[in-house]
Amino acid sequence: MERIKFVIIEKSYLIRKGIASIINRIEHATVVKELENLDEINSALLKYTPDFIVVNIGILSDIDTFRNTEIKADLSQTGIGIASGNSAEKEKKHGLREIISTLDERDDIYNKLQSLIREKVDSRHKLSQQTELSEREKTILKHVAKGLTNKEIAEKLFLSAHTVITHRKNITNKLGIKTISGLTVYAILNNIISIGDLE
Amino acid sequence: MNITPDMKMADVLFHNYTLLPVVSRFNIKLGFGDKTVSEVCRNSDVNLDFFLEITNSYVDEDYIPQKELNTFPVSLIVQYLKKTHQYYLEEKIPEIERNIQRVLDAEKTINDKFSLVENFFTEYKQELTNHINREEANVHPYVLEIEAAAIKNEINKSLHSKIRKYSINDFASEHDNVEEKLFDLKNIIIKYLPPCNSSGLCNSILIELFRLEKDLNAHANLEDKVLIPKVAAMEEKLLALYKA
Ligand SMILES: [Fe+2]
Ligand SMILES: [Fe+2]
Repeated sequence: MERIKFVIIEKSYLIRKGIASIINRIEHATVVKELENLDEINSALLKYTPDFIVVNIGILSDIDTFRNTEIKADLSQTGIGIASGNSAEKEKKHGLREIISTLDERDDIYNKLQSLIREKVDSRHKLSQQTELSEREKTILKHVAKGLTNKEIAEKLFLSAHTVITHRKNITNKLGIKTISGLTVYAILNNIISIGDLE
Repeated sequence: MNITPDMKMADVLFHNYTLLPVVSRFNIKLGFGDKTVSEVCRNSDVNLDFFLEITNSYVDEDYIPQKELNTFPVSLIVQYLKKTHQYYLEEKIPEIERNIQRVLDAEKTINDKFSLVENFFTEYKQELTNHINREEANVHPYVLEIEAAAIKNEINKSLHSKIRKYSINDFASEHDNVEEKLFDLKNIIIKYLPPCNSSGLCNSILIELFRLEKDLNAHANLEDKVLIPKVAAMEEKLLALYKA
């Protein structure tokens, strides 16, 4: 199964490496990108599509200035805050999924992260056990194979782009195929589309 | 078990046969007798520390570098990356292509289905070739230039505007993942193709795909986690120098 991906945004080298080493030791988990600040956050999120974002609480407010509401809303599900020292920060949730403190024992951090990862793994398992595509998913797959973008598919089927993305994620999870070429081969093999349709 | 300088090179390969192509990339030929890793490296003019870091991280994903990989010159890393590219394009890909062709010849009944695999792989080969050409034509000369400037501690106007125009981080953000397609291909062959009678051939295609994928992963790690941060640090220094 594909690993659970983490992006860490933390200025301190030691803290970043420390957390990364804990994460990389947990089964199914991997740190795909470490960032010192928010500069490259948008491109990193697009490129790595992390399942969790570990972010220092000190720079959390700067995300507001990006006005990136999509990222912000998402953080309640994917965000793990790093609270430094004995500040009162760690008592609040800051709209994030979980908070870890730099004063926490290794095992505490390990356990908190592990239970988040477990949960994610379980839900993926459930998804991957139902491998039959729904009719809607087949329709979307057909358009993907024809080379349409998410936006074009959304317009064609009168769906929001967000819904199309969700469907595509589900298709990929069910089939274990990520790339468009791979999905196209699957679609042909299963008569969802014929080679003639591709011209 | 970590690979160390006093281990016998032959033993290293007995324990980790997947290292065979890696060792060849260093221009090290078989026939080691009882020579140790450090002796073989010395005789073949190979930087021992670099060899150890590369081989150890290749066999053990959780290997923690003993020497900061960052202490090695960019030119050494580039040389190794190039050798690896050559291995993909001149050995691995043609080998897999040949096996695909052999299945096509043997399996007349599922030929039309299997030709999808052929097309997929041809497309993949093109993608990988483009990826590699771009690195060798643009990225490698650029990082070597940065290193030369960093050693001389000198930056001129043209290099300055080069960094401003397209820095290594721009490359990093565009550096795409070439393993994804391979993963899909394995999945298609294992799960979705109709049963194939030439199972020996299909298995060897799959085994080669697994190996290639692992190798590409290690290769991308070297590019993303070693080369890019190292060059980024040099750029930063040079930019600061230019300001001053
Ligand atoms: Fe490369
Ligand atoms: Fe690359």
